[in-house]
Amino acid sequence: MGDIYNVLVVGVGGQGVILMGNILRAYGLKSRFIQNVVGTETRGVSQREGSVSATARYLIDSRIYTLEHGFETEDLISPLIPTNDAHLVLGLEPLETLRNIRYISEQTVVVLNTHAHYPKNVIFGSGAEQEYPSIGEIVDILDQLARRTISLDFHKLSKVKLNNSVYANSILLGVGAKEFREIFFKDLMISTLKEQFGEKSENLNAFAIGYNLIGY
Amino acid sequence: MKLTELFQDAPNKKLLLSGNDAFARGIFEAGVRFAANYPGTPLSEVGDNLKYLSETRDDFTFDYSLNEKVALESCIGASWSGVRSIAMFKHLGLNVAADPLHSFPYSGVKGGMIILCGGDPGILSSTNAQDNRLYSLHSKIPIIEPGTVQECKDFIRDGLRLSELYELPVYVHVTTRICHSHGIVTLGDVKEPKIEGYFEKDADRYINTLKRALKNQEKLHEKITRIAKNKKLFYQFNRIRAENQAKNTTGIITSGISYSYVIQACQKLGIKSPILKLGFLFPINREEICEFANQNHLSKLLVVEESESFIETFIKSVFCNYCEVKRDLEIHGKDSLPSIGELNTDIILKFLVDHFEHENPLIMGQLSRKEKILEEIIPGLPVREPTFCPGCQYRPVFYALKEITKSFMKKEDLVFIFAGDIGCYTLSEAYPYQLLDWVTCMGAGLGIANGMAHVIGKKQKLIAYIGDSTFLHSGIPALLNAIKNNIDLTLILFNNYWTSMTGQQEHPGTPRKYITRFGSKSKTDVKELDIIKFLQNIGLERDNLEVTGAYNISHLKRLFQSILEKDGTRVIVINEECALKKKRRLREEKAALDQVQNNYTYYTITDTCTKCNVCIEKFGCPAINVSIMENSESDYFIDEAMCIPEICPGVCKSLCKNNSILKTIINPHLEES
Repeated sequence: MGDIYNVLVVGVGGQGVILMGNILRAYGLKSRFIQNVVGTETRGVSQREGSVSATARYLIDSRIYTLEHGFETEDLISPLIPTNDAHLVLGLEPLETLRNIRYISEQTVVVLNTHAHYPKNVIFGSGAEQEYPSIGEIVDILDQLARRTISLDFHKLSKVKLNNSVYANSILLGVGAKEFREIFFKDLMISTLKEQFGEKSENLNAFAIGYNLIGY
Repeated sequence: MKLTELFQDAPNKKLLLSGNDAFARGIFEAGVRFAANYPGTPLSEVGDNLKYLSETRDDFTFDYSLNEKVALESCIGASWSGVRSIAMFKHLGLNVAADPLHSFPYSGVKGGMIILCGGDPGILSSTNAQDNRLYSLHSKIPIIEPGTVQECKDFIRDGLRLSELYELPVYVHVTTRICHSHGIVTLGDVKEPKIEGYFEKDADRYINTLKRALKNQEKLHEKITRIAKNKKLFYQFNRIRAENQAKNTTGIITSGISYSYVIQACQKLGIKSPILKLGFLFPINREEICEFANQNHLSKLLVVEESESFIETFIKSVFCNYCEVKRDLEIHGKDSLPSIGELNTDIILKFLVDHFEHENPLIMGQLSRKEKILEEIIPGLPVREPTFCPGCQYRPVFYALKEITKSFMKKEDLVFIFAGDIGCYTLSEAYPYQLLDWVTCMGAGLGIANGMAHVIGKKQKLIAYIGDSTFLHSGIPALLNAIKNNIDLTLILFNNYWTSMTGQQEHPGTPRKYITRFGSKSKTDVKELDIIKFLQNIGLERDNLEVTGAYNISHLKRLFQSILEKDGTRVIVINEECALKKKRRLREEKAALDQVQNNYTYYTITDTCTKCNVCIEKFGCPAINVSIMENSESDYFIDEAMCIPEICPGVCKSLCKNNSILKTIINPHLEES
């Protein structure tokens, strides 16, 4: 018996959404407290510069983390998260996080990278009459709906701390993992990242920076 | 997923696999000797996995066939020689292969054979959402459908056994969501394939004409009737979840990915309904369906399936014409579930709420606040239009084409018609090019243009696009037909050497030296097809065939200018490798040779930029970007992580009128000294 825990990763094609989903699911297979893991990602023509999302869903041993229901392994088959049911949302991009608001509710923790990736058609061109909502507005909405929202310009943080903005996602993942540290054990997460990026990758440091960013 | 891990011999080991990985693993475990495929989303990755397997093992052959018809026919040949085979492609591919599909089941198969087909009910990467299950009604072949990633693997093995038991091909129906699902799979034993096949002649069986065909048709029908009555098969492929034994119960019949949504919705509502998950969709076992209804004391039955009402129609006929006890059973399904688009848990939740008179958990709590946001804000959010990759070789072509056709329209009052086809060039529809008038199916750009050319007036001019892979797949007949009639049409043939949109798979025209081969198995006997030589020998006027690279815009403009002024059927070949593939290929080659990069090239935008927007608004390379600063000023920059200076020779630089794009070459070794 266990409880179902849902992670949603959202962003723009090319930002690393699919990779992040793979890492989270790989973690699920490694942890002995996670009895089952499923998930999916959007693919196809939407990839380049389009909206992309990935899911990781865990059946967690009730002894380490208790949610509402008791489930069996065969209860967790659907790769999609139902409305309201995300527990952790990793928002790699503000507009895409807002677009997926359907999954966010009082039980959700949102970690948001406030660095906007503006659609070209909004700056010039066919969608020019559409406006990119202000970051403040997006954070406000998330604050109203989610249990907790941690918003930060992870791009800038990555650039300042590690000299390159490409580690933003790993820092963000660190922050998310700390929020649910009963589920995401630091060492196990780091060994998952090692398998993905190699022993000496800067991503490991980035994750640690994120993990230690907020003290409890 | 590492390929060595996917194909390891380790029974009972648990791996995290996607549906497509699981299919490949299933094919490996089941001792399949031959597999053939034409790439197509959602199934593309199965072939990519099998290519590796084929190159590392002597007892397995995989072929990227020219098209789906050839793929299916190749598999028939392998199967008739007594070995196991699998043909796979996307749902639309079955239309191309429909000709053999409707005849060869009369002859049946020898070695087990599966046709694995990926449907796309949400039209996420296709041109339609046709429900291929309906093919069973006229091709008369059994259909099975996996509902979990584990079943994706297991159904390949079980399907092949079924196929050999009845000497019939078996159709495995899946949808995008299953193919792209990830889940834990327990590996099974690996069966060694039968290496050498032998074709045993049998005229009555294989020469399918006249009286023989009539006899074979009878045999086929008789086999299907026998399968429908096989109780063992029913319980092997279908699952029943039933706890509730009360009278007047409502039961649910479902299949595939819909099953997972049903489970999820029932959990949310606390409903413990008897559920029959069908893995065997055709033919339906009538006795056992009745048994399910009787044993669970059903008074109402709900059928949950995506797309057409396939299962529902069969189920209704069971209770209407066959079942003695449950004639009055109330059956619901497509009367309230949508036939269009994918299903999800929310849709099924509403459906169940209605039928169980249950309170809707979604209406409670904070949703009212959220509903306002969902209704008022979300629909108005800016849409992200997909575009060509940064550095893509198509972008300068469409830029030049737009400029030239615009000037023609102005000067000569002409209207250009742009005949689209299936491939990356459909993205020319998006901003800023908008040079596309239709996309129908593989090869239909040229095909439709053929007829149009006969009837339109002189004020309209046809330009058709086709990629190399699509051309070889089904564009050749349409081009030959056009040349035969010398119709007035310019074909732009995008020869990028790969089947790019589905993940850069090889095709017969791919230069052999560019293809990475795994393992030691020699494939040097594979011939390369020269598309240009082919075009030189099919009757085109000599002046009406041009070959060019893609990155020189002024050259492209001159070429378009001169060729559009000519008459008759003209072909321009854009000979330039897919930039994304070339980038990856060169990096791999470099890594393999352990080469150190000598020069680093960068493109940057300098302060002299006047923000004229040509590079962004008219050219539109995603590597060129704008950041909005805190004082609302915009700052133009080139994203180093996206720009590929090793492939693209700086097209944006050639377009910049102010010379504000700077090319910098840094040699790290020089700097050090």
